[in-house]
Amino acid sequence: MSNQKAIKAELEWVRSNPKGRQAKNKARLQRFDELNSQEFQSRNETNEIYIPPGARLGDKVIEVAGLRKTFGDRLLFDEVNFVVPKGSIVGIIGANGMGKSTLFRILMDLETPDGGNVVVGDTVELGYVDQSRDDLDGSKTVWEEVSDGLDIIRIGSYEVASRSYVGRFNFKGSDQQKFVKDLSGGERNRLHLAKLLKQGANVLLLDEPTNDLDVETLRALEEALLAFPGSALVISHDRWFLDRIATHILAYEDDGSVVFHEGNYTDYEVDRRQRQGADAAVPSRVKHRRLK
Amino acid sequence: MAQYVYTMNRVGKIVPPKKEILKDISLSFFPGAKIGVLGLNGSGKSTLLKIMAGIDNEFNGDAKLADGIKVGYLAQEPQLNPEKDVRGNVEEGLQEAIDALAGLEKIYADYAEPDADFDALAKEQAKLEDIIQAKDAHNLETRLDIAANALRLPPWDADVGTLSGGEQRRVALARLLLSEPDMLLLDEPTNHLDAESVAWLEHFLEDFSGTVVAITHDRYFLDNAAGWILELDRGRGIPYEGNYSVWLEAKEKRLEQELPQGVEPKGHQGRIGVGQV
Repeated sequence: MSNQKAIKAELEWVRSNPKGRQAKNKARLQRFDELNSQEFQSRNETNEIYIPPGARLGDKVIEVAGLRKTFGDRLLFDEVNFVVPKGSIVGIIGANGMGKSTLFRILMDLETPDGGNVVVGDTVELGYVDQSRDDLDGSKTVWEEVSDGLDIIRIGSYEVASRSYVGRFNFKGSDQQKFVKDLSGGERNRLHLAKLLKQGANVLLLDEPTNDLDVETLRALEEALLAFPGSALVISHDRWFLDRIATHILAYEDDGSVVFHEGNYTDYEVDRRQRQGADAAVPSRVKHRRLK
Repeated sequence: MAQYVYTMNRVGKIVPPKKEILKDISLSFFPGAKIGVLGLNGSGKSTLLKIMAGIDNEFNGDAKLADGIKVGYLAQEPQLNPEKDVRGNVEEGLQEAIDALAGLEKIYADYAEPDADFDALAKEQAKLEDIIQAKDAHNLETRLDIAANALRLPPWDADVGTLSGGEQRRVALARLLLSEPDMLLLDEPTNHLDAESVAWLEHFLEDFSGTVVAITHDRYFLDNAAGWILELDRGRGIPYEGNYSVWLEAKEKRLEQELPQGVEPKGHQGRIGVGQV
């Protein structure tokens, strides 16, 4: 049972120490070729959630230098610098309203920065799952919403039976016949993922995919991301989720700076406390820097 | 203090047309227990909390709150007072302390009246001073600031009608935590909080001396702060003593024994929570 497999993997993680956890996340970067192998992918296709792989990802993924964005008379962020390595999973954290979603919109070319550079590698196919789940059509069934009524759908470069694809997002049997308007928040979230990941991407931009999910689905999403042969940037507030998957953390800190850290959330927190001292224990109200 | 802060005896809930969302739940809650509630969507978690909060009275069986126990409940979509700004709403959580401070000011003024009854005033003064002491009322400003920062509240003078859903929830949570009830019932308290605020809330609840019953998917909270997991499965309530890791171990064992398809877990009677008796 795929559920049991995911529980075993989580228990193994629970029993390991912080060092072991770090090493495991890091190993993902070295094992990138293995993740890409047909054999590895077919072993994971039966996972509760399975994200279809896109084309093979090259070495250059995303490079951001000196990025700056203002909003009215407020400075949202400035001097944002990071390089996303091949195979990495970057957890993005910070208080609401600091510009995390704006970064995604800039990477997707939906918004223009006020300064700095973004370079996206030639092999990169971005898959963007935004936060708005309003574009789902309430009058359609789950299956219709994803498949457009087609029995066979195209995922990137290959074809798959649409019912099997929808099933990979944990919509089993009669669940696929449920009307979108009757879905819970967590189910809408999964449907949204299924619909948007259909395009077959090798770099995912996921904006708060962990909201409203129960622990079973969170665990399944973790397994899906760990098996995904690409890179992912994931905005999330779920510390456990971030600790399980993240190879890097991009943190919007309270003073307005954006820090890129190699390691998972816990590792980042240790580093932050060393940098900021005792004050770091309590968060502070968001104060946007004003432009002169 | 009572042996249990709350007891449920064979509580069930049926919603029309005939869906039994809670079945035969019998549980007794110890004072000071920290309980995480887990279960799939639609397993009746919010309904259970509404019954415990005394908001849903349409259920079968008996449920009883111990005498003198003050309950604080955070709904999924909490209501704020639209007449007041952010600060006014949060201050409602400290109303008793604020009233005591104002009352004391009035007494000081009354002493100066020519026909003042000094005995009566002194008696009233002592009463108010006790409340001020117990409620730490001299530190109101500091406590308001700590809560506002930790939960990243919008500016004090913001009109609550203009706030986002997430901001409204954070204001309601601050108001609730400052009111220091004996039993906190929290329906998804970590939704709309960022990682740092969740970490702060986790420590706050760990240190909180009252009972906490929280519906949450935050596994660090369930692992670090919870002493019990109450799993709702097809209407039944199954208590586990231990944190998330312990519950996960138990779950794996349960799956290994593989309950045949369609067999429902048995109902449980349980006492939940490690007592601070």
